[in-house]
Amino acid sequence: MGASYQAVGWNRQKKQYDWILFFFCVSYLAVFIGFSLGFNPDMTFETLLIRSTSTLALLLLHVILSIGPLVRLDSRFLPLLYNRRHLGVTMFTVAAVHGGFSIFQFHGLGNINPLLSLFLSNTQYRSFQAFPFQMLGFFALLIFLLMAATSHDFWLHVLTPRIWKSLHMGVYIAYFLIILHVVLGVIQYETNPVFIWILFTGSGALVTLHLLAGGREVRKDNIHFPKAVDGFVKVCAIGEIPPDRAKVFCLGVERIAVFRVEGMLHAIHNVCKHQNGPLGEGKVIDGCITCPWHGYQYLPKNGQSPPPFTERVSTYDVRIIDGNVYVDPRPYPEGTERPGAPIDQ
Amino acid sequence: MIKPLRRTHWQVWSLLAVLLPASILAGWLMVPRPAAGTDLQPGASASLPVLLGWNDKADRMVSLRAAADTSMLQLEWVERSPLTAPSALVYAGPALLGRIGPQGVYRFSFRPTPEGRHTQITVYDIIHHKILEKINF
Repeated sequence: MGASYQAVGWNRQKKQYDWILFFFCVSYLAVFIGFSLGFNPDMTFETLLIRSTSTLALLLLHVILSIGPLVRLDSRFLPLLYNRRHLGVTMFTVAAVHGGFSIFQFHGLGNINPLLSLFLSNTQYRSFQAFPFQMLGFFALLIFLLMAATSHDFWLHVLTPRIWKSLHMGVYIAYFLIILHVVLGVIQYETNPVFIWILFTGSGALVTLHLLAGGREVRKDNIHFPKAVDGFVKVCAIGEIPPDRAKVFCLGVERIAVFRVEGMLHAIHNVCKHQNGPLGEGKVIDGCITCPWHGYQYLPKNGQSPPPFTERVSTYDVRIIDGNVYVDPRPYPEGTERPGAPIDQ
Repeated sequence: MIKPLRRTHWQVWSLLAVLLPASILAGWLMVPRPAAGTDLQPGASASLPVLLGWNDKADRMVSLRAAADTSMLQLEWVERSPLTAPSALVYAGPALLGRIGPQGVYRFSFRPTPEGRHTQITVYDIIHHKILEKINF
């Protein structure tokens, strides 16, 4: 969280994250190139680079896409999410090297523009097996470029989190294009079935993770609460909410997080203004509700970020009756101060 | 994440759960299988013992060989450099023996003609309908 925009908001965790990522990428490329040269000493530098960067980018893409559901299933994966954007930009850079060298190797030495050649050298658009697979990778790379270019918080603010998130869901289209790019490309001439099994395993693991995590979230959204009395809905017993933590309930349209802070209960909208992170899964640090994704903070009593920050979320009325917690699901305007409910010891 | 986005994620991954395995499987089934052997005659593994004649050039060496009892002839074609013609069929007289292609050794067996010992070998480019070479033994 910063009061002004910087190219990269470096801190110790981000530096560690990026160094680990850098060493992983370098080690992967070195091992891949070493093994390839061991098995085929005549392989050219361009071919080595094209193959090593393609597999590295595909591996990184699978890691990136698995972080979201992993975090939903187990909060121990949260550190991976913290700097996921750098992982994404790294993946794009590696994929761009692959794409650039491929265009140079396969289309750069003819007498027409390499980009035109990409689209005109194979025009079997009606064939599945002979479809021009390089074009699929090209369009996936364009989507990654758009995502990498807008990955900064400046664009998140300009575009609004809703549009930014929708834009970045283009990664799923890109992923599908990449799978087709591999299936209609390398799979068609590499006869070893290990490539198919790697692809099946990777995509199967991703689908399983996303459906497991998504199913869990859908079940949470579909929990039915007793009918409202005086506009208040009974959600849980006080004892179910640990100190400096929250419990989350989907009441009507959106989720509400009820926090227990310094002997009081406060209810705020569960969605962080930064990247729609789940505030209710964060904890209270220095008296502020802290988003578990990127550390954005809000005051429990009014849902406002502490000055000089200006983010605000909706607040809700909360009551305690006979040791049970009741929440009024009608939101107050963002940043409205509410008294909360004192917990009698 | 807001509820509509959660729902969209769920729908997208439900769709991908069908599309991804179907695409991979379809791609796998489409992988071209190696073409079955369509040689005009099985490749001879060894030269026949009697050398009847030869014709040597820089790019190829052609020999006519025979079995010990002369009941069978064999054309041995050693291609030393890649052919420049896209198609090269080899005939012994009017009989098609087979095709020569990249560098390597090609052996074609055939029965001697009843007319006599004279054998004419013709190499024909069927794409350009052109005789590439004639060799007389």
